[in-house]
Amino acid sequence: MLPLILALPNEILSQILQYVIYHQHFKIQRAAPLALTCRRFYSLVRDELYSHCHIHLRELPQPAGSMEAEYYMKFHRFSENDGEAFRSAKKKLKLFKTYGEAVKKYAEIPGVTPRNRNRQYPYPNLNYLKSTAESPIDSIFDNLVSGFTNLTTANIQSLNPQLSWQVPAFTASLITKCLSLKRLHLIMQIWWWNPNPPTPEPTVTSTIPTAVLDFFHLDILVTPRFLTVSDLIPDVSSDVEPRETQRDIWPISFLTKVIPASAFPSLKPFIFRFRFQDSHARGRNYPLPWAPLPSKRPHRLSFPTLKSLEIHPDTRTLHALHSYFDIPVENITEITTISSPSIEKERIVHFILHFPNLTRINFRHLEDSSRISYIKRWEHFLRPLQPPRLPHLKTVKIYTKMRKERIIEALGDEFMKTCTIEYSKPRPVKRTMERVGARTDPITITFL
Amino acid sequence: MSTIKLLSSDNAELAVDKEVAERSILIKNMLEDVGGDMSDQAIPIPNVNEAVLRKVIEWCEHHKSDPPPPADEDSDSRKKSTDIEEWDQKFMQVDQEMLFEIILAANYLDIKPLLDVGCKTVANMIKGKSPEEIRKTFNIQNDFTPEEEDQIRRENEWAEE
Repeated sequence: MLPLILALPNEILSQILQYVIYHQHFKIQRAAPLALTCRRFYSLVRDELYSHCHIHLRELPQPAGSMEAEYYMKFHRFSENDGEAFRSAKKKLKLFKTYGEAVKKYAEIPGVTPRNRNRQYPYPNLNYLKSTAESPIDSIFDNLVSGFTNLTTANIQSLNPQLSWQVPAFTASLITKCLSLKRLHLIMQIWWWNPNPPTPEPTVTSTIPTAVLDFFHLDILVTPRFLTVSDLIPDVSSDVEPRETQRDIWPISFLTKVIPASAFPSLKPFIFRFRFQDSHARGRNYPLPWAPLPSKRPHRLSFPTLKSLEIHPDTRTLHALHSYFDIPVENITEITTISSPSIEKERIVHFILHFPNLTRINFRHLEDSSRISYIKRWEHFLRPLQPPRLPHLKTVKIYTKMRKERIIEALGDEFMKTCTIEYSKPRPVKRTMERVGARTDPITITFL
Repeated sequence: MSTIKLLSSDNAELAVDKEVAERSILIKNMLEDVGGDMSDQAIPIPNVNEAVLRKVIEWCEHHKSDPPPPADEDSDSRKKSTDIEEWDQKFMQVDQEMLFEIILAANYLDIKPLLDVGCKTVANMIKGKSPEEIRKTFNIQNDFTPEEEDQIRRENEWAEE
């Protein structure tokens, strides 16, 4: 008769296993006796512990000419804290090298130990890989890829900006070899990149043309949703920390340069989606180049159907739009401006007037939130936007601290004959302090 | 308070307060879907026999006024303690067959807190035991060849500190 416990489905057994490992504090050792009881528990423990892998590569201080490198490896759930995990993994690595079947395979990866250079290491259980690279050993990546036959999620980080240029090559090999891959997350830091890398390796330079632009903390999310490889549609987006927004980010041109569509003959429709949802483009996280633009323009991306833009209203943005994108300005009917308290209002107006067919403008983040600042000269701000300059303009929505009555007063009777002003949402009944600067409300101005 | 009737796999009809039965997300959703009251008709629970169903209802009675568990799915693994409150410990002092039946029933009826208590109880039976003791506890046959066992032992040596 089947033992009663083995009648439980795997999900429940795995839950029990987690309680065994995690009681009070994480202790992987508790799983070992269970693995030794029978095949069912062995495979359960193995899947639980080895299905996620975090590999950290770094160069060891070595005598010149040596290729030795060290890597820390962390299997998912070995520890909660990353630093601790690395320490414990490093300690365990020695034991892994001697004993662990699965782990031993990694210990023999070319570049780490010079033996068995061309062997590949299948590891079918692994479905999640997180790798952090500090070391310039791309062959390790390459070999790892070949072993991950069932990899579905990969999370690749390069902490060393000098090495980030390897990551795209690795990515390229990953998405072409790992057909099971559903989700790939790349995090790279690329500072000013020397167009002539000091020691170019032939295999790498052939697939990676030099990156020209200045990138910082490039975060690309590629989500291939494919049935066959020819249907790959990666999703590209980027996030930047606010304090880093002074730096330049231009992932699209970077991507089109380093991973050109021609590198994947089988991936014909290699479409980059740059956080475009339907016909909506967001510029939030892309403060645009201040550094000299490359003399040779990268591939321009065409968005003929784009109707709406969310953008930082700056002339630099406009310049970059012209340089990198084919976006017909006459197609744009809606603009949302963001992060512009420091930009002179006249310049914002100047920017807006580049789009002749606007019907709606949403001004957000016009005023500084930290100080009592607000738009004072409303007539100067709104009058240029009226017909005939923007003949189709119907609605302007502004987030402002100024009260409606004060705005009407500022605009004057003459102007008010052409429009109506309303609060976009009902204001709360009670206000303890009726003063300018207390809070920001959306006001909608409708032109008659 | 309205009562509903549950029909066990061995055709026993049990009357339960609606509030108590709704500890089971399966029944709760079912009642919501049906909309009207089910007081005249018994809800069939085909996977659970009378003894187990009574036990599950007993647990639900005792825990009927518990606050709903936090909804976040990926609950922090660090908080996975196997501590069980006293009443639940007593409640789980049953033979293994009943214990696993309760776990399966909690899983089927979607009563997460009860499932957790069950899993914790089993985890506590595993913890601190040697492989041989675990086999004995659960009546598990060692199905490894001696070579395999040796291999796994070496594989897991790193874990035995």
